[in-house]
Amino acid sequence: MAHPRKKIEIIVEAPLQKPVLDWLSAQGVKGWSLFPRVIGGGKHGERSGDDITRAFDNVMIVAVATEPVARVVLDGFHTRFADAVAVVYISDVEVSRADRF
Amino acid sequence: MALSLSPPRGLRHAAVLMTELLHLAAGNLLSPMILAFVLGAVAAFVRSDLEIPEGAAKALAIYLMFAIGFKGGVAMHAASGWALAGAIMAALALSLALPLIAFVLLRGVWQQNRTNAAAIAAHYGSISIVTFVTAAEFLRSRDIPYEGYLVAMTAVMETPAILIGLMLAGGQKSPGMPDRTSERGALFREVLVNGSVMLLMGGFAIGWITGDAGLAKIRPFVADLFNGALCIFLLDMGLVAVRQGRAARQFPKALILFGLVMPPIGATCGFLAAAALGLSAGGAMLLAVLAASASYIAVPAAMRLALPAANPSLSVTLALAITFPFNVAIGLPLYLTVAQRLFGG
Repeated sequence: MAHPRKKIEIIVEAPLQKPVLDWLSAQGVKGWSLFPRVIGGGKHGERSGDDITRAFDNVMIVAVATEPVARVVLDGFHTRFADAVAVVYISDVEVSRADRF
Repeated sequence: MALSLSPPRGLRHAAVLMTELLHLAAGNLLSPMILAFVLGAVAAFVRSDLEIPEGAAKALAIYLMFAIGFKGGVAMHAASGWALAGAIMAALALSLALPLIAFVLLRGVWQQNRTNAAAIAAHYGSISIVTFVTAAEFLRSRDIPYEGYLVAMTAVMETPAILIGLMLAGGQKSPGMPDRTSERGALFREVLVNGSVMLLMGGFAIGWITGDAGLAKIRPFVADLFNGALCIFLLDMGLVAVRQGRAARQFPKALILFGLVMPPIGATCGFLAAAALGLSAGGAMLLAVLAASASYIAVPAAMRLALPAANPSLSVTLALAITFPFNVAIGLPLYLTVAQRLFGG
């Protein structure tokens, strides 16, 4: 049986990876996946994914959570990480094992 | 009275010094290592698709750091531990003084805000291991010896400047950063056990323990292959430096001068420390290089974590695209000429 959940996707500068993951866990997110060296471009210029300094690398964190948890993450992220280079969004998904998320 | 047609003595002295410097500079610029750096820079400039895969560059960096640490340790094998203790104290003193000088200049002369000045100062208080490795090879190719414990100084000088930079920033809080204490704790742990410090100190310890017998076992790897590996690494650095310079479109032109002025100021501090330690000309030159160089590997990521309000493209562009090429192309022969004048050899 399918259960509605929210997918949280966070593209954030690599140096903040650990603090962001710690914070997600503290907000009630039970698990995550991470894509290292995410290439992209935007307000902060282009990010090539192979930066020697790591200061200009991005990672993408994907997590699935209940709607209340996802809302807390979406509403609180840019307050908690005010100066971070980051994009955060949530979307609707369905999962088969409700107890995992 | 007969007029002498020869120039005054001071002028002749300056001319000899300049000829020596130009000779060294030409020899440096035409070395395979520097030409490989130029090749990388040209490739990036013409927007070639040439790239060194990240994993390969990382492996080369690990190799270079282990090899330079190991060779420093072997050189230390016969030396006294007291010399090492003095060197570590001097390294700490430089790590404290250099960011302060950079900070005062950036605030007073270049009118940078406190946060950016502190972040840039942290980069200049730390060191560039690639510049150091290139300088050590520059000396080796000229058969100029240097004290092995200089390698330990590189490891000591990697990280204290990060903490000084944070203090200079005034312990300011970014809005919504409530948990700075634990973040700083994480930062301290990260800088103290970061990979390059572990490799340098670990390689140094292994070289110190095993000495010449140890070197004999792995010489083809740590000595014979070294220059070739350094060539490819510097090629990558050429690519990275030019791409970084190009990426920083908003970089204030006036700040370029800081990237060129700070290295000789740092080198001067390095020479003062070298005089206090009684180093040889080779050792003094290497210490000047350490003090003149700026970090673009360990510090940028640490600053993003600890001082996120600072603009990283200012500090990284300065350290990587301006100071690094300056030191490698002009700084090495310049610092060696001065070191040989001041410290003999």
